[in-house]
Amino acid sequence: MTTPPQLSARDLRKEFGGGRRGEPVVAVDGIDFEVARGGALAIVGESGSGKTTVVRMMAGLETPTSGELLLDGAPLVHSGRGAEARLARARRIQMVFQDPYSSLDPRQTIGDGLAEILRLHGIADRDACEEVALTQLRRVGLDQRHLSMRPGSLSGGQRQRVAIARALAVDPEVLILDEAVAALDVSIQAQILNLLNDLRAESEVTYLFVTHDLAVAQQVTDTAIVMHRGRVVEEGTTDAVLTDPQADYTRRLLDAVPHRGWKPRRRLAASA
Amino acid sequence: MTSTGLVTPSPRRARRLRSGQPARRSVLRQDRVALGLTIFLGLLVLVALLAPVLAPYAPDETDILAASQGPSGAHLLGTDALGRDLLSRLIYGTRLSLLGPVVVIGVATVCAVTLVLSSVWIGGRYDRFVGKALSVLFSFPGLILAIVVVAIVGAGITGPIVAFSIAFIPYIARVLRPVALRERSMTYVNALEMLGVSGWTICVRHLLPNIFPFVRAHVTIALGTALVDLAAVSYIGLGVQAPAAEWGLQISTGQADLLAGKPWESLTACVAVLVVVIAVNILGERLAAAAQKEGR
Amino acid sequence: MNTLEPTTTLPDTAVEPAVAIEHLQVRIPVDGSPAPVIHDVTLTIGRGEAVGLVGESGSGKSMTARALMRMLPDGAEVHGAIRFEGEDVQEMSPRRLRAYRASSIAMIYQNPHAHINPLRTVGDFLVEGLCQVQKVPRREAEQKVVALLVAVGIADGARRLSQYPHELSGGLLQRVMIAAALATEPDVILADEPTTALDVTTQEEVIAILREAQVQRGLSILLITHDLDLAGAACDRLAVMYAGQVVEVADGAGLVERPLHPYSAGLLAARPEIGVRARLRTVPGRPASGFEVGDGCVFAERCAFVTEQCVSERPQLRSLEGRQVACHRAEELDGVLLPLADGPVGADAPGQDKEPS
Repeated sequence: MTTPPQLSARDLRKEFGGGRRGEPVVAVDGIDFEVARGGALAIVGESGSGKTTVVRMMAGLETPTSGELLLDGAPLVHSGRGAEARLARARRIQMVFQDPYSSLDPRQTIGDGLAEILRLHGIADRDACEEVALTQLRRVGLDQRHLSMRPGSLSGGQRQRVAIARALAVDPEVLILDEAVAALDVSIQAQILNLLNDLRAESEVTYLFVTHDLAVAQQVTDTAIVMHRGRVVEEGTTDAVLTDPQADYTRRLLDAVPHRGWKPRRRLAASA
Repeated sequence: MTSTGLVTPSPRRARRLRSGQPARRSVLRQDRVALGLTIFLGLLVLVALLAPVLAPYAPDETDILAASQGPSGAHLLGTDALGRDLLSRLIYGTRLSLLGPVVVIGVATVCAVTLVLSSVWIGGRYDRFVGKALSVLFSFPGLILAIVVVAIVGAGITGPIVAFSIAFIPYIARVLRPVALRERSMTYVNALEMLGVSGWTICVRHLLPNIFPFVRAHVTIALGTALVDLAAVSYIGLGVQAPAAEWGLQISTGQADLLAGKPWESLTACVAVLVVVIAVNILGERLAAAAQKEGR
Repeated sequence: MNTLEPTTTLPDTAVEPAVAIEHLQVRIPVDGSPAPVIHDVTLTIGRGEAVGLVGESGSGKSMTARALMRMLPDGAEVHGAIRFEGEDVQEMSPRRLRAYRASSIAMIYQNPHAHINPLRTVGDFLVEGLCQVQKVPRREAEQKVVALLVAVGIADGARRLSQYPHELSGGLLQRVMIAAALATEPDVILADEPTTALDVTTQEEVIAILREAQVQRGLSILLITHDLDLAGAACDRLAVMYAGQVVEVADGAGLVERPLHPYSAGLLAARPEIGVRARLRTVPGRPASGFEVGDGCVFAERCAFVTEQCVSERPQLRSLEGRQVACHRAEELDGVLLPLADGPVGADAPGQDKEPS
């Protein structure tokens, strides 16, 4: 990599609990990663791997126990108060959530929801709002008709498109996609994956793609880290990780994905 | 209120079927009973406003010669011990009897919603403090609180209204808190936070509209409780004072006649209280059911 | 690749299959008037056979399972035949139906936590059916249950009996559900998305356990899933459903390698394959439900190969070289669908193979 990393984590660690009530639970155990500007990093792992905690720290929903998250050399999450700090934070990092059914205000039309964000960030004034909102919707493959609809009349895939349009409306530097296609039907999943690739090709946004699905990660990302029990067990280009895995755990994950000629095996290690 | 909801155009139904969600139609258009009750309560408010026009006599016009009479052509509901027309007093009584609960619930709702939204949003120590304060307040019966306040400020309509406005805050907050908490945990709230939307805007423009159906339902039910409580305070002589017309007071002053076998004054006032309380309760339950159904 | 011979032997269909569904139609009331959710489902599950029922949301796959259990919503209108070992499920008396649900057919769900009483121990849950329905003494039932837990990979079964559901992980609890399903020695297991909520490594384990039960106990399995790859690898035969109709039936490998219906091909192409990095071929639009489709082919609105006949006349499921497909153009499309399913073309893939510099 010749360009300096845009986003990086240094020895990031998060513990929960502890204190008088015994040993703390280590959710993230000192991990490092970096992504170049406009790059896309996959954070792959199963439940309990710590990938969700990493994302929550990036979103500012959790504070790291130690270590740091840097964006262009400065701490990613500013704790500053006031409107200025809030808006600046929003333009640094945005997120698309897993559940398309609860990520939009059910009482707000799609147009109003977008307009609210556009006006807040001074991207468009009252008169230009609708037109800019429409442009944003067109970017994600929706149109005029959807402006006046409420989330209840949209399908899961359409809602996820709206969520993506809304997150990209503020032109963030980093977009976190937290299992963003996991809840969608297969044929819709493919549409969204293609859309994400198109959007990245036309802007400078950096993707952080959190997923349990290796095949899906490969579609959208350049590099990948595989997490297991709070640690990074493997890192490299996504293609290398998937086609030539080095860590036992990565191999185990790949073996478990159904494929042609797959023979599901039992490993008899039943633990709670 | 035309019944345009009768014939649903098929494209709309198709879209609703596809989205798997009920169409956003107002409760009142879907529910005939709720609509009827709302109209009834609206008419009551009209009666209160138009009392001087509707009442056949002035409420304090006495006719000693026609005292304690049963219903007749001249006095449709009869007269009280001072010969005042009971129908007229009932009509004028609507004013104070409804105004009290509306003020009480209005004030209590504004306070409760503010407390609930702010504590759910801010969380932490503030949330715990508000929770404790509301539990302490909740443990005081409203009636006792009213008596204490009356003891301080003296009998009249002000004391009980102040007391119940405070007493109803935890009553409403208690039902709204879990609803607000659930709404707060929705992903869209996190998304809006990350988009830089201020806490104030999220609370007022997003959380409030989404919990509004629940607010409306529970406030309607609380209205009935407040009506009974205020009538009770007047009945025991601490609220509205004679000679004003008010239902609770009428039940009380009618007691003398009641013992003499002339139940008209107490009976009509009782029925008035009962009918309004039943109406707001049924309406409230219907609204609550609709809010529940709409909740995801 | 181009032969149409099935790659695995299909079970002998001369004997009565465990389950036979013929031209099933289901309408359920929506806002007071019946809306079709299943248009035409014809499906057999042979004895000892694992059949995968694959479809996206709204396809009617779960409704088919509910029809088989006779657990449809109130007011549902059912046409067509559902037979269990020759007996019409629709005609069963209440008493027979209870016995059928209790011991002939068992169900495993996507979310085990929602189907187990959280206030009672795993042991209570497991032995209850045995003690009450089959009148087995409790001690004997417990012994049997512990053996079953060992069979599903829970070695310390005796200890688990005294635990509560919340103390178990999702994967472990799903194994308990399988043990519960096996306890009554059913002939058929209906597994409705049993691994969707689980991690891939746990999924492999659960599928392996189901497969083992199928072989060792001669069970018939209906695996309902949205995951065509999973069903293809875990089942003997697959049925693909779309908008309330079975559109294709084939052996697992055959369907995955050579789909005959445009929808099956579309599903396969839409799913990214590990090691192949190219723009995904998508099916336009979104999955339709039974009540959204017109008189023609259920897939007509999204199909790239649609003709006038497709829009006006609904194709029936018909046999084609050892398989079944509901498509007017199956013969002529046979070769055309292949590249679509075999690997996405890279021509229209902008910004794909960019590596960070």
